[in-house]
Amino acid sequence: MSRSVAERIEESVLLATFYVRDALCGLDAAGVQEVIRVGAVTQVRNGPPEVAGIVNLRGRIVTILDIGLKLGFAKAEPGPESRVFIIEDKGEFIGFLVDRGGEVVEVGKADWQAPPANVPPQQARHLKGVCRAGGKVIALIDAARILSTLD
Amino acid sequence: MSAPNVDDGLVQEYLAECREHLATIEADLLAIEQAGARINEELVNRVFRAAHSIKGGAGFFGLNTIRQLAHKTENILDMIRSRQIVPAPESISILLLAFDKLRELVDNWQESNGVDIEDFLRALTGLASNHLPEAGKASLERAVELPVPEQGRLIRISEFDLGQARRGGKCIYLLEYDLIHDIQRRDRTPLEVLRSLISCGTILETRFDLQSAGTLEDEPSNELTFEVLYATALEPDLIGQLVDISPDRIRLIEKNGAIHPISQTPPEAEPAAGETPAVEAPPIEAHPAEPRASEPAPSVSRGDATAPAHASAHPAADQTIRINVTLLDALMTLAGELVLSRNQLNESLSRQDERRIRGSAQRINMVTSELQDVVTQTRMQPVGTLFAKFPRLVRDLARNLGKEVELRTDGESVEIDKSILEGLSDPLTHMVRNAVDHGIESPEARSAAGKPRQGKVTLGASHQAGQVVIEISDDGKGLDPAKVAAASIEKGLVTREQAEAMTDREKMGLIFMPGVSTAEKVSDVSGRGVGMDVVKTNLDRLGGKIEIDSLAGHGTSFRIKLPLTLAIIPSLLVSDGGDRFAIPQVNVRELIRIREADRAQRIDRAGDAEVLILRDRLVPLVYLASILDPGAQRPAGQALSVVLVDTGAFEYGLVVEALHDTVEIVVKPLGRHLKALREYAGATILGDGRVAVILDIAGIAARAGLSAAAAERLAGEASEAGVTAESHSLLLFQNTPSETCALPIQLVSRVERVEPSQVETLGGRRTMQYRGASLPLVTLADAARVGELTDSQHWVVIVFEIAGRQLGLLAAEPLDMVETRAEIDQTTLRQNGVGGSAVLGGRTVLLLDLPELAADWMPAAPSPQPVEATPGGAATARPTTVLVAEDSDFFRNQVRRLIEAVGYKVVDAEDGEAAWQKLENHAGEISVVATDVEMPRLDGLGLTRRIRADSRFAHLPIIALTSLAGEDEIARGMAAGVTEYQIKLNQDDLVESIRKLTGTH
Repeated sequence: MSRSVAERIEESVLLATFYVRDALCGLDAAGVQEVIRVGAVTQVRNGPPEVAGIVNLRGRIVTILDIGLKLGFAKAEPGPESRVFIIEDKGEFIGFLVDRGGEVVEVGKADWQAPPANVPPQQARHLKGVCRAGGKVIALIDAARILSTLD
Repeated sequence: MSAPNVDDGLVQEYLAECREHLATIEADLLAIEQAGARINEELVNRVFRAAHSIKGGAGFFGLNTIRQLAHKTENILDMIRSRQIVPAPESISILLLAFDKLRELVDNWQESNGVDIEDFLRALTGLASNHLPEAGKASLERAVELPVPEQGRLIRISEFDLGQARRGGKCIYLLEYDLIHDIQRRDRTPLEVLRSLISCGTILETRFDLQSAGTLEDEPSNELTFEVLYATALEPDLIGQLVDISPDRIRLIEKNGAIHPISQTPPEAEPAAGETPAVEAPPIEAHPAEPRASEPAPSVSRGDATAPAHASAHPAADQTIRINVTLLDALMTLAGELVLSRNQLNESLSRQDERRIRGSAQRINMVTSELQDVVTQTRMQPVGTLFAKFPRLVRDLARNLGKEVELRTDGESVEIDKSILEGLSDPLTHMVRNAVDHGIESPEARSAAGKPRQGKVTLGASHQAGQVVIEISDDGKGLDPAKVAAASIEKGLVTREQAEAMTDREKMGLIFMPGVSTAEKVSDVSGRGVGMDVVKTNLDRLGGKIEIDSLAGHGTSFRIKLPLTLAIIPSLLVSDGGDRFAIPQVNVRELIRIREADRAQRIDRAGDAEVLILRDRLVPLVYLASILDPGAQRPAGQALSVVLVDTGAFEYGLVVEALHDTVEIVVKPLGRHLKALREYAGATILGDGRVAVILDIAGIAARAGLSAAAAERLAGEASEAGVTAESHSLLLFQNTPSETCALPIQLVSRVERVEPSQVETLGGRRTMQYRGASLPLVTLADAARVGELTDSQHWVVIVFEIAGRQLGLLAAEPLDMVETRAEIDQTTLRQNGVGGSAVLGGRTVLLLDLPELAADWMPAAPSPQPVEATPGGAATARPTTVLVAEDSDFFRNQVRRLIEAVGYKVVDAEDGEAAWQKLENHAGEISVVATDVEMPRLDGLGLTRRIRADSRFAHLPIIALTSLAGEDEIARGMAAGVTEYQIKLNQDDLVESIRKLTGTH
């Protein structure tokens, strides 16, 4: 999906937005399979810290990643507003655990810029860029990058 | 040229066909080699046809390398068929290698045209030329070019091929198919056309004319020409029947090289000689072919033979599976039923009709189980598909090593899950190799040892108790336990002391440890010190177990036990820290609950580690909680649930918070971020939709730092530690509803349900018809002061044998079997016929004393008279004395009474040390020792060793008494010097044994 975003950034792109703690973030909506509530998550102890657990998605075992942890936040504490954004990567379904779902917004080319210099590098590394939409700043998550750091 | 634009499905169809052909060729070639000069034409033809159809299709798809190689093999096969070549191991080796290469080319067909096969071609050509008369040899290297009239071009063909093709008066045709009009528009596929041609003749050459297709800029061409040079017995007037194209496009190639369409009459043998130079000599131009190598392909014959026959898996082949159509139909039907049931369920749900909802749920339940069965079946593949590769492997290896080996296979039709079969391939290959390399001796050594020169390796598969057992055995030199032990000591895997304490079987088991190899010299084939441990690891992963058995000089045999399927496995559910986990049932040996009060007694510390005292062993304990969360506090002072698990290499106790049910689970893989965790084998979805992780028993052991060596060492120490805990298996039954009674299970022959009406009263005694005879029946109330059975209870009859007679005890359900270590109280409830009582599961249970009861039930029973005066009269006035060592008071009293009942004298002792004292005090008096095995201070085996080591007592027969003896235990006992094993409380056998051993009749 990274490729498709890069191409379509030329025109405009639909972003599925969500909050990681208080930060408004977005993923390319085309890459998001579905968004589910956090149901019964089974913890996998001894797993990497970013793995929040596994869930049953219609008979498939899906690994849930706490992307907040990757962005330098503390460990997520799933609450009633938490959501899991399911994406497909290398033939496998993976869920991104976020604190709250947001809207789907369309962003144009002109709105894009590199992450500001004061974004900590650890966070900036996982971002493709930031944009402004509806008066808010959205950080575009680089899903492929996050996943590759875990492989 | 890569494959032309033909649709991918067609290529796939062709490739699948090739693989099928190639799969059978190997076995056929080996059979051809076996037959030698007695050529089985049908077999050769089959291989020939296979090579031939591979060649035909390859030409069509432009796979020239494949075509060339297939063509050359075909030549050789043709020569074998026509008896120009007598199959010999050398020539068959060349063919085998060529077909291996073909298989490789077919698997990588997209790159095949770039592969260098010169060595193979040279070897095959060399083989052909070696068997041709001098005159014919040149033909191999000469190509003939024949002019095609009207087209102004030449076709080129080897003179040899042409000559071979013409044998038997065959006609040769040049067929020109137009793909579009002749094939596609008639709804045929090129493969079908090729197949029909192959059925009636031989394809010499195929050519796909890309030029005729033109380029995009050209006018769209209406033709795609596909040329076939074809040899058949069909005469020109008949060829039209087979080849459905215009007669203009069928050209006959005359013996003189002239080519003309069959629609035209041949230019009648022109009388004017010299007019056409073609008539003179068919070879118009002779091109010397590549310089011939006289040595057949030395560069390819080595190495390949010892490498796994075709190591790189066939990606395409492994992804597909052949399914019997009836299975597929069954699946379809079930899917239909499932849909129907779902509709019914939906309807019932909307109507809120609970009865119908339940009905639908039941139906779905049924369909699902059936569906599961059928789907599992589709994954089942016969073991034969795996075995099929071994004849070749064994043959090549034996040849390399200069040995003579026959491979026998058995049970090829046994089916096993596809994924297990795949996982089995490597370990089995390794073991078969080992058998040939290390097991079977050289023919000379075998002759010298008085064995047939030819060694035998047997591969068998069979079903046993829901598992598949694969057995690999050889009649070679066997495994020398001392050598294995020496190698293990050298590698530092065991100490010398440990090795000395080991039985032969335990020593042999050491070959499964990393780095142990007994091969004196490292060979190409095996013996590099890696191997059996890898085999074992692989088998562990499949949930398999391996056992070894060997007799020096006679051979070695390995038994692998495997589950039938991996996809759906029965598992035990446990929970810890709020999460549920599944443990595959194949790993579970026993469930043990340790009460809070027993913890101190049952759990001990060995250094820093906790161990569980289990019968005669110490078992390492692993807390699941601390594996999953290393910081977790071990719960102190409460009951423990322990799952005794078996990794295949050793056992350990896994402490969990709670035990739940056994369920069948569907194994699902974990995502890639979690794959690396060795403690998990996968995940599964439970009935409530939640996910549970499946524990990997071997992985958890690794995480806990347990190893087979450590666990075994611990087991070895157990007997010295003086473990006292001993369990008894009891059969529980009801007398009256308030009276629960128990009998040691070993005494019971059978238990059967009986209706009160079946019981007959004759002459004041109760009997029933049982297996064609009259069985005397008794009740407890006949002999002891207990209640009478009532008609309202469900009656059973407990059949046992005492003093050689069968007797049935009437009792009532419910029945239960328990294994208990409970303390037996021999005073409170003691009465005639009741030896004592114990508290089991909160109930007070009466333990029956069968000998006492029998004395009341059968007062007239002939009491065996043990000690007769010896015929000489100078009889031993003193009765034979038996020393009985047994720590449990209850059992000691029982055994004593059993033995005294037949007239022997008994001296008893409560443990081994006491027994030794008594032995010394009564020296000369005691003529036989009967000892329990598990006792504190000095156990039965220790006592035995001490007796055997003392010249005063070494001659005494020793009977070991046991509740249930396993083979291992018996072997250990025999090694210590035990004369016989007898089941505790089996009066008849015990008495018989004492009589026999003391010679008192």
